[in-house]
Amino acid sequence: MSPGILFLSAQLAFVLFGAPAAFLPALRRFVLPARIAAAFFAGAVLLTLEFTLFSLLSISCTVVTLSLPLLVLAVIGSAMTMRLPDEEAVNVTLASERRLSPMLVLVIILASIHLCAAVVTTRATSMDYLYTWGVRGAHYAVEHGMRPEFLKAPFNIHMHTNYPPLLPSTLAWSALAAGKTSWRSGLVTSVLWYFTTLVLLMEVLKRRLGSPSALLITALWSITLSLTLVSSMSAGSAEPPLLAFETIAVAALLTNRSRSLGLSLLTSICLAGALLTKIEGLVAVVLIAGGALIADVLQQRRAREREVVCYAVVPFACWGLWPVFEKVYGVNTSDVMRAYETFSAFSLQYLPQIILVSLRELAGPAFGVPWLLTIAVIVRYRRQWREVLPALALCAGSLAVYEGYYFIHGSDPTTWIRWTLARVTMPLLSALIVAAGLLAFDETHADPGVRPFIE
Amino acid sequence: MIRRLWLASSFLLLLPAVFFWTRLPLDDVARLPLTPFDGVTTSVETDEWDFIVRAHAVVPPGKTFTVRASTPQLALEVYMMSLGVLPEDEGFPSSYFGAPDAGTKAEYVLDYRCGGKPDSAMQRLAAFPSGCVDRRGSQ
Repeated sequence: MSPGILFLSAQLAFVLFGAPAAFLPALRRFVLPARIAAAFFAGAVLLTLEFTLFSLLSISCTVVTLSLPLLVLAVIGSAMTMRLPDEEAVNVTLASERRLSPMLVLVIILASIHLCAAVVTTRATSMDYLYTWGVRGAHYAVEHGMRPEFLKAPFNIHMHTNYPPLLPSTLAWSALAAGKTSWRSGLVTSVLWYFTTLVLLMEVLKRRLGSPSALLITALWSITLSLTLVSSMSAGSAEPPLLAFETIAVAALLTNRSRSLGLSLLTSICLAGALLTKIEGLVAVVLIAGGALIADVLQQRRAREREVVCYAVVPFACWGLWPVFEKVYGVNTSDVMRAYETFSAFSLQYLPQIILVSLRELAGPAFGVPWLLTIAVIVRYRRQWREVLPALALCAGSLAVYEGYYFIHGSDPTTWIRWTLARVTMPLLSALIVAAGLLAFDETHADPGVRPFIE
Repeated sequence: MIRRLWLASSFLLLLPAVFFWTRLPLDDVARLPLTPFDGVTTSVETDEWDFIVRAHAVVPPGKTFTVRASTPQLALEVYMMSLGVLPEDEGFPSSYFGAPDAGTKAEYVLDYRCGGKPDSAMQRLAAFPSGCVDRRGSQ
């Protein structure tokens, strides 16, 4: 088998490592591809945690040392999750819409072809992949773990070595399995994140809205994100996994009205994944989890201990391993390359550029249609805003942080906005699509007594 | 109404994807990429990649290397790219965001486009259209 195929196939091992997720209550009723996708997400998170722990303890990371403990854990974990009481799902179906399905499936297929073709022909390659993420992955593989000397080296600061370890660790795992880094296959891993998100999103939404509406939302999601992933040149960077984790975290959270343990744990896995993927994930998780807990209070549903544990304690406990590693080995916790960006550099001098360039970047190749449509829907259903508060908090909060960041850039941020904004706002747009879709197509609004999941 | 708008938007958004592919010349679409970034960069950068990949075959694992080029910016660009292609080796940049030249510590010199000054203490190990690989004799 060629190293490229082996490199890509090694990513599928995440499904084995995260197998317990496929047997979680509620998730075990999902269609097989969605269960595989959930296991893929969980496996990537577990592998990253193990990779970080081994690096912290100076244990050599090899295919055997990494896979054996994870496989043993997967068997034990699967046996445990299988024993959890099942949660029955009730679907809402609207027979009149079924005739739309083939057309919507066609949109999803064409969107997927667009992304796959662009990635394979290197028309969506992220330069961050070549200069930072991929380089870190290649070094972690050669050095059999994250070595402090590499992360602290004065000539490696352009790699933003303070960024969390999920993507480089998963790329390193593939490189260890294949014997070397395959740069082209590394790009294609982004497509894996897109497809796993697609099938899991469809299934999560289906449990709440029924297949036709879930398909409608998934179709818009697929074409919007396919266009944006390509135009923002995100293949190979950390954006695809971050988008995947944040999208499913929001979708699982918003559809989990009846507090299904399975969906709460899926949210938990995804929030942990977001934290371990990028620093932006930290902002996102605070906003999503904060939004969820505040929504509970506003809706006079007392936040149960289980929700607090799933949305805050578990994700931050997983993430905590990375700052511990940084602290123990004296790795920079801040980005040396961006040391000049401080609050003292705040200036309104570039306000017009920031507004104009941001609007142009947000509009992107889709001419702003998904933003306008989803915002219009949310305004139309504004009375139900509490139901989608985590998604709204994520969008408004993250956008405020990113835009605020441009004001402390210290010089004209036009180029910086062009490089970053379309990429970093993908999870926000994704969350808005999910939120707007749930508001527009959830027929249980009319009958609050309907509970899609029976506890 | 919203359902129709939603559906129309999904179909409308297929147009930018169609436009993306139809604006490309047909032979360009069918051409297999030579590097991981042919589709998003200029031929200069693919040339840099080609040089590093060729140099990788010459520099043994576990050695030190540096990159030289006609301008400090170009040397930095090639150096940053080389770190991923030569992960078994240790890189010392000749140009790094204003830092002093650390490349003098390196045993192997990856000279992009063979534009550097010839050095009598160096042995030329390989020469490609995109550059040369030299080794310092007394290291």
